[in-house]
Amino acid sequence: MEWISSLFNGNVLAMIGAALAVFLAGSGSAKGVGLVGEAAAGLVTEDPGKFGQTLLLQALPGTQGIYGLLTAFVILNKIGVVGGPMKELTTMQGFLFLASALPIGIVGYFSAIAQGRAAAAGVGIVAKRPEELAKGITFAAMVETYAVLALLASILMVFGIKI
Amino acid sequence: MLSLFTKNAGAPKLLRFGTPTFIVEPIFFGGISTFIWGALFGGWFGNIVEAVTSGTYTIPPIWFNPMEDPMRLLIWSFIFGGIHIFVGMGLKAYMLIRDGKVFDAIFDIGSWYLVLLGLVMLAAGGVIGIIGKYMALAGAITLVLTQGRDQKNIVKRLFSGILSLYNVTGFLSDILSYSRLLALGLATGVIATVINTMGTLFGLDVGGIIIFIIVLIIGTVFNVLINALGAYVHASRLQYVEFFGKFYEGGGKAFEPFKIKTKYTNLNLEDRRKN
Repeated sequence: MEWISSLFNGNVLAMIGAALAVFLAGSGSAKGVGLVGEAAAGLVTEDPGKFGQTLLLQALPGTQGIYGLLTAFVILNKIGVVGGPMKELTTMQGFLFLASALPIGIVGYFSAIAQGRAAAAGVGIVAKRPEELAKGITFAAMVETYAVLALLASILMVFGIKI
Repeated sequence: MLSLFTKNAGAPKLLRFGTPTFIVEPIFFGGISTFIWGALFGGWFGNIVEAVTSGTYTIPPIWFNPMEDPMRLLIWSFIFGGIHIFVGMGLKAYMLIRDGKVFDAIFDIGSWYLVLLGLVMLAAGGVIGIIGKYMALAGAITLVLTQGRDQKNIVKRLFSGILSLYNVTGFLSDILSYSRLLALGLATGVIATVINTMGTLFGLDVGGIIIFIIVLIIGTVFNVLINALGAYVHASRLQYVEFFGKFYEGGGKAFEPFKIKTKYTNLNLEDRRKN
């Protein structure tokens, strides 16, 4: 059963970790950004001048996907995939990389959707009171906190792994 | 961390898309600040000198490199956060004293200053730690004795005094919230490093250099945009939630002058003919 032993190969596990960080956080961001886009399109039909402001709100849930990509890059850089031969990892190290990808992957997924909903509600603020845009951004930014904390945890974990 | 010549000059025009001035201006000044911090942390477009010379030359940081020692910057983020929050509390004390409530200022703010400073000094250990221990105790006792002063009943008064000590968790989460300074700083630096690594993948002959310049321009513009947004959003949160929460009392209604709105004028020709 070669595939089982290769499943517990350190390098495979680290790659799965990097993939999870991108795929989970990215799907969340895609969902969140899409959600705000739907709400914003409705407003822009009525008032095309508010495109810039709603675009700002739409960009907010996009950060989780970038955080996920960032974590993946840090992992790939550490195991030497980017620019050079891949280092040989033990199963233990592989699992450590996998674990360090989980915070941004999972928190990124859920926080991006929640942030998308908050930002979509912020589009409502822009519709009626465009001068209160900053408050709408702040409501969405409250959610962003947990994504940043997860990114911090993930990056500190990757930095902490000894190879 | 990224050298922000680009952010200085570019952000106001790039981000404008009808964006109001109150967003563009902070980002503009943020660019100047980022430039200074980039020099302190040794980040010039990430690690561009190292990437181009494949590690032969590096620009040493004036202070230290957070990529090598993230915990040090984490502690500094908390210190900056602590100062920020203490200034906010000081403003609250100022407002109370201005309103003639000197005792409120001493009991509500002064005792918290004692507790929080004491706890920090306790963590430092040694003689300072012992002084800190007694400061924290003195502050905590003052809080227990005074925080229930609105209550008539003695038992209720003591109980709400003890309960007020629970607010220390609030201060803890406020301070921890400043860890985002490290997270965002690392994010900018790591993205820039990634861009440089991708750019140098094709070698540094003539074709490689052209690819490198293209990757660098596109990547850096992306990095600036995404981090300008991040800096704006997170700085707003720290100001509005952590800082303003310490002293600001919102509410009220915006003043709307009694005037005729003359943006559109309906000409009612019927009425005119009658006159």
